Amino acid sequence: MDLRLETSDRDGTTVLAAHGEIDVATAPQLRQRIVEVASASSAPLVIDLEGVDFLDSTGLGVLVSGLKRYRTLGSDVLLVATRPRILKVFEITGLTRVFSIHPSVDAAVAAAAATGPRP
Amino acid sequence: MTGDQPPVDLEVPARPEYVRLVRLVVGALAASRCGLDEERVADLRLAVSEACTLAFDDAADGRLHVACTEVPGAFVVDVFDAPDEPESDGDGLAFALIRALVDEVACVHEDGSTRLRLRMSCAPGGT
Repeated sequence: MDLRLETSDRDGTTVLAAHGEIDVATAPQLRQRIVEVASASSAPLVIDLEGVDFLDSTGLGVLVSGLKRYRTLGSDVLLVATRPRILKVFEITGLTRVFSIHPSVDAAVAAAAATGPRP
Repeated sequence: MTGDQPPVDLEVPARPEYVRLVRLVVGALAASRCGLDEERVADLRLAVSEACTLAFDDAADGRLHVACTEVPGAFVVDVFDAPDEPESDGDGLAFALIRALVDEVACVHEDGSTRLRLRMSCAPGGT
């Protein structure tokens, strides 16, 4: 199973949609993509996890380091997640308190527009 | 559960791309032999993945060794060469997940090896 990553621009917010499994084998791809997107723009980043079937601690580590990177830039990372399997991983690790997690890309983009710097 | 199924030993290269194979096999075994429901199988798959990831650094001879055994009322997965405590921040997340997802976790020193032993109680009526 591969991890497929698609980036798009939504009203000045970058949306990175992930599809597939994020584990120790595929997390480096996600890390690389976040670094690339952050280098290109400090616009807030929405990471859409609705297409993700599996997320492990390696993937969480990549998301946390991405969040730190964006906050250093004065920006933010917001997540889209509603699948119980995915939310459970954030809940167990206490990361629901760290990330801003939204039920849809629209909601995340709206929240990003309200808080993040413009590109 | 009949409890008379032979143990299954898996040995794969200790490389990231093989962890998925291990979790799929372990999940399929747990579902078919122990009757775990979908959510508990998913919990076990994630816990096994985490344990395998932890075992990479210490895996003997570059091989990852995982053993699945049925005991009365439970399905037990031994992941060899996993550390018995977190060695980094990332390990801390992995251990938190393992402890939350399986019914019991223990570090076992047996036959000169260190194993992280994950135990899932089987559903009543499981085959």
